[in-house]
Amino acid sequence: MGHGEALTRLLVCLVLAACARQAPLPPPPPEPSRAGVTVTLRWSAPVDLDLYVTDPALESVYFANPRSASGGVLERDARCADGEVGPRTERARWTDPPPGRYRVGVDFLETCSGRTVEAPYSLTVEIDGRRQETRGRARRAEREPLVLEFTVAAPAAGEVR
Amino acid sequence: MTTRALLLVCLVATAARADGLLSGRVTDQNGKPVVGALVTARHLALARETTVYADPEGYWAMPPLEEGTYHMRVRRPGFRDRMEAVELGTGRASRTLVLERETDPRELAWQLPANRWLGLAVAHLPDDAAREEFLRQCAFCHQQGSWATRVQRDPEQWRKLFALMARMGGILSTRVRTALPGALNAAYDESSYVPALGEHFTPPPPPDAAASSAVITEWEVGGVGSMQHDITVHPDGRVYSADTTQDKLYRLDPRTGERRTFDIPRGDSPLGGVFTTRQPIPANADAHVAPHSLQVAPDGSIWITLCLGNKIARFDPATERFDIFPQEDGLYPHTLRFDARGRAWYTLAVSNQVAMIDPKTGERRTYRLPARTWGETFAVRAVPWVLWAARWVDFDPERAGDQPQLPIPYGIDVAPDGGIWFSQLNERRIGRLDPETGAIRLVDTPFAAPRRLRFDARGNLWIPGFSSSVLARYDPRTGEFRTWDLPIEPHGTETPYALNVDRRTGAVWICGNQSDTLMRFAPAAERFTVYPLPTRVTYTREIEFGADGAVWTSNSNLPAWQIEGAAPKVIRLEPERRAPAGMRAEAGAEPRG
Repeated sequence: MGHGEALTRLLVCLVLAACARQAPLPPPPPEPSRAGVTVTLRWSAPVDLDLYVTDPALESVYFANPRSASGGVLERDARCADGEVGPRTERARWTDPPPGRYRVGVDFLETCSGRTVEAPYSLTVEIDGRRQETRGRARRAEREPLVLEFTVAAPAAGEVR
Repeated sequence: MTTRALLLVCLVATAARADGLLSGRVTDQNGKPVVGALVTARHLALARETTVYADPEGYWAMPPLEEGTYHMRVRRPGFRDRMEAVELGTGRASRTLVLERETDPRELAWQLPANRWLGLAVAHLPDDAAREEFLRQCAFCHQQGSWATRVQRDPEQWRKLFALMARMGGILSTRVRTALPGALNAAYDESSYVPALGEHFTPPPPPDAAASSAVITEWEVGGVGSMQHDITVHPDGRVYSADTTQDKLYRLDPRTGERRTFDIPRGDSPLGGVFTTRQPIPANADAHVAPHSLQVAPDGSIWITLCLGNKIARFDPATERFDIFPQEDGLYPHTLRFDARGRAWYTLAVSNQVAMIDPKTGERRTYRLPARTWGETFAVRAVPWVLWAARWVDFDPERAGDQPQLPIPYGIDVAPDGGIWFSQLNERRIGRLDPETGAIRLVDTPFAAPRRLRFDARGNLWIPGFSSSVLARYDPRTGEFRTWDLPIEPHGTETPYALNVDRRTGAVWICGNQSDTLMRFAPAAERFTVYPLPTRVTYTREIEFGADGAVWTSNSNLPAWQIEGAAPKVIRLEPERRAPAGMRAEAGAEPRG
């Protein structure tokens, strides 16, 4: 590939990036509260986002490691092949989460169709029924390693989670 | 100092120094000896495991061990693991350990090391070129065929996984990427592996007599998020290791078990370092500078390549302070060695260069190495531009597998005549850099993927062929190569990452990355000895020697949670550490000559 061709490709990519449509973020559907920790990633653009949750021992739950030694489970890996139109969801859950710091990342691995380069998303963390939500935008081929972090407190003496 | 390290220091300091002696015999249910069984005693408080092999009569004897509670594990493929706790005092204790035969074909298959499973996978690939590419690109972080990787996935998930791995440097051609899902799914289907590995179960051979007196000690160092890449042995007897994914330098004192952790200064390096736009690191990594290779300088300081931070670090063990030297010219400081004048030479893997830093004068040099084709030259020169532009433009690393590849200068060593030799991993060649004139001579290798190479005392260059599963010797005087297939069955399933030559004995020690082994090659007799290592999923990248002849390495499978016990370890293999006199007799053995 010559320099001229490379520069041309660069310009084309920049123009396409600027023109890309950005799909709106759907409102999060109500969900029943559950014990433990649940991390939910939602988006609606026709792209494949991936949820990464790293537990206090530093093992990550994600599509290629859907079960961790700490009991974390990726309940759902949304993929382009699912062929869904509309809201997409990935969810990781610990029913008996070990105490400590959890880190949540989001990866925009690929576009399902079209040329979407940026996808709005929401992240919901629910700890023993208490819910907090964060919104962000994922960029094509980029992994945001630390969108948010949260801490699960150690149970008090005699407390049963 | 971390809380864990403090705890360990206290435990060691308060431990009674009188040692206990533990020995015994391993038999099957019929009383027959289980030759080559690995007997492991784990000291919980010290986070340390000691392993010996059962001899041809089944007898074993531990070296003297501290008083305390040990979890014993006896293991030999073909039998169920046996576990029991032992309270060891200051006297002698003896145990006869009876192993039950495993009869379930599936369980038998699962006892085998990754290379056996890898053998099933490569058999489904269309040709040798595809097999070579798969091994070179998909086995340099972790084992292929371990419990964590022998997984069936649907085509969509394989595709995603390949895209993720490509971002971390495991870049496949379209041809191999297309063939792999079917090959791996076929290999890892129960209908395939149960007959092949379980019903026709063949255990790895027990260690031969030359290995039977070895003692292996493993210290847990780092954690689940660690990639404990390389180690080096300091003349003061302490061992340093580099945690690439957590930006740490560890120091282990094997005499006391004390571990210290030192945070390597990150400066202004972002997460992912100079490659931050690509984030070529796992999700659990906290790598801003990523220490990689480390060596002891003649003045006793530790020099470390910081591959993602694009820097060189110097650590002074006396002051426990770091000095950091940015790498202005070139990308990805990789493997580092010192020459006789005390100058550090290292490869710059991404920018296809070799560099030098002279600690005494501060002089620095870089040498650009030849690429094989114009396309490769362009690819090398384009990397900084791609990294810059990647903030705005999407470059798909997956597609790079069909483009000219980077040559990747990898291993480096200094010849007895002072010449600097290096390998170019993807080029099938090695080269010599004249440190005085800068002249470069290249030599094609008759095997694929020359990786971490080393000289022996006679000036022969020993080279591991990573994806070709060979040990090679190159004589720079005659230009002749000699290769030996590694003694791991099935042939072609071992990926030796590194080797080193014990210049006192001439023995070549080789990493057995897929088979959980270390191998010793005696050049005069042209004989291999295989040492099975006790921890499943042991992936090693560097070998060093202690002043006492001990062989040191580290388990750096990435991710560490795939390692049995989910803990990276510093490993010492003492080849000739015989049991104390009378120990085997204590266990009931006849005296041997």
